[in-house]
Amino acid sequence: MVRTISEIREVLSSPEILVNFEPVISRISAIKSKAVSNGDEKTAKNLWCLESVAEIQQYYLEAFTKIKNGQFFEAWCSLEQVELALNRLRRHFVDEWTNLRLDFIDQKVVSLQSLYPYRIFMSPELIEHEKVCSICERPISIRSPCGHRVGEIYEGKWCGRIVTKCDFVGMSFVETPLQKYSVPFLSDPETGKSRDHYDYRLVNYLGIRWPSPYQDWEVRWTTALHAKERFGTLGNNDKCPCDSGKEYKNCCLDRRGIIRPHVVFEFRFPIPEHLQTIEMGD
Amino acid sequence: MANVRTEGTDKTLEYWANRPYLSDTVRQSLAQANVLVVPSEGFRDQEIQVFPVCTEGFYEVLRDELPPGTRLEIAINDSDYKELALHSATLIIASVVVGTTTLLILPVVVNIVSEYINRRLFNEKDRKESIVRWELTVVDGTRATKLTYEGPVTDFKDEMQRTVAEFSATVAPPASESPLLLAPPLMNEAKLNGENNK
Repeated sequence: MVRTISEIREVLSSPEILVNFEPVISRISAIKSKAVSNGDEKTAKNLWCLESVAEIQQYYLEAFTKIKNGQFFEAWCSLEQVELALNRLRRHFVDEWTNLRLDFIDQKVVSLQSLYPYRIFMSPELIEHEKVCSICERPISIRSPCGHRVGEIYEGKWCGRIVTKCDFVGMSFVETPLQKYSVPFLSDPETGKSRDHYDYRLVNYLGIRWPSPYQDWEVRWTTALHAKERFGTLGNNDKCPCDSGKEYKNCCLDRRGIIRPHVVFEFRFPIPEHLQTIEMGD
Repeated sequence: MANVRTEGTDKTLEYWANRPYLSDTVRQSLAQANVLVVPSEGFRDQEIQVFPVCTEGFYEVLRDELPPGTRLEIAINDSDYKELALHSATLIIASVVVGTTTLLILPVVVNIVSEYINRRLFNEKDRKESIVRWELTVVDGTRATKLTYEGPVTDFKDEMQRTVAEFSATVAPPASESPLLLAPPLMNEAKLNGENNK
């Protein structure tokens, strides 16, 4: 049972992977409440930082578990939660970034996201009429600010804005969304329910080989020349298999092979023999 | 400059001070201002004035960091203030209009905006990959010039600083320029840097 702030730090930086975060988070919450009631803003802020670290580790572990279970979209959403929490924390907490595994998690989130097939996202357009401050709940007024700044920590809480009245004015398709969870799915023509039509072979390839969330791996995106025979019989007017969008005759017909994107995984842990073969095809 | 577009505009300080949606009190206050934060008008052909999301924080930063003597205002009534959230990763900063009586303030404004962008995008990866859009209008009497930056965050400060330096060289400040507003930009930059190191 953790009691003090230094014990909480020890647990969060321990080489043993924490699985049950609930006791740590509730202990942080209890100490933080006491600091807030004593008006100790500095300690409350430190505890908010540790609470965020626990939250980041928890979401990261969830993402790892979901990838292992083949719940790829759900894992994607957990990775976004990690990313958002890291961004909230970044400006307040720099010293122990490596010690608490945040550097590792930060790098892995980016690498994992790069393995996903999502390229286009939905982006809602909102006109925000009324907002309140998440700390004091005062309505936001442009000429009479409440004094709480977005992104700062007050009373052990992150300051944001809560939209209380808005109009939905449109939806766009974008390549660089603010909310990464807004992935469009096709709907099943028979049932009308959404169905996951994406190709998760890359993230699945990693998932079945990755034994533990803090074991390291790297991924590099490059290109490779493939023999034309791999793509079957290609007609002159067919779409070129290099994905240029051009006809084959106007693209790779006269080349030695087809240049396509290629992914190189470097695993820094042993891979069981039966998983060392490449079964992905292209 | 690769990412800066320069064009003439009829949206002078006078234009903004006479917008029909402003109350008399705000209109009078605007008439005294020399740095204005202005809305986007007619979003999707609607008669509505909107500011990019987070303008509230941007306005506070300007109020805190512009040199003493600057008269900052925002061209909207308090009760009509609305923000537009497009939820795309392009960082859109509210447009600013500056009068040439405050010509020497231009590099300071660019510095403030640049530091504000760096604070919004605290993650280095986001800074390297993000696109920013910002409009700065400089008004010289009845003539106004709009400088629009749209490009990588990493190039913003250098390109905008060079653009305003070149632009300022072409406009002679009026003889009545207030000495208060001619505070050397370097002094203000030092103040800014000092604040950021805290």
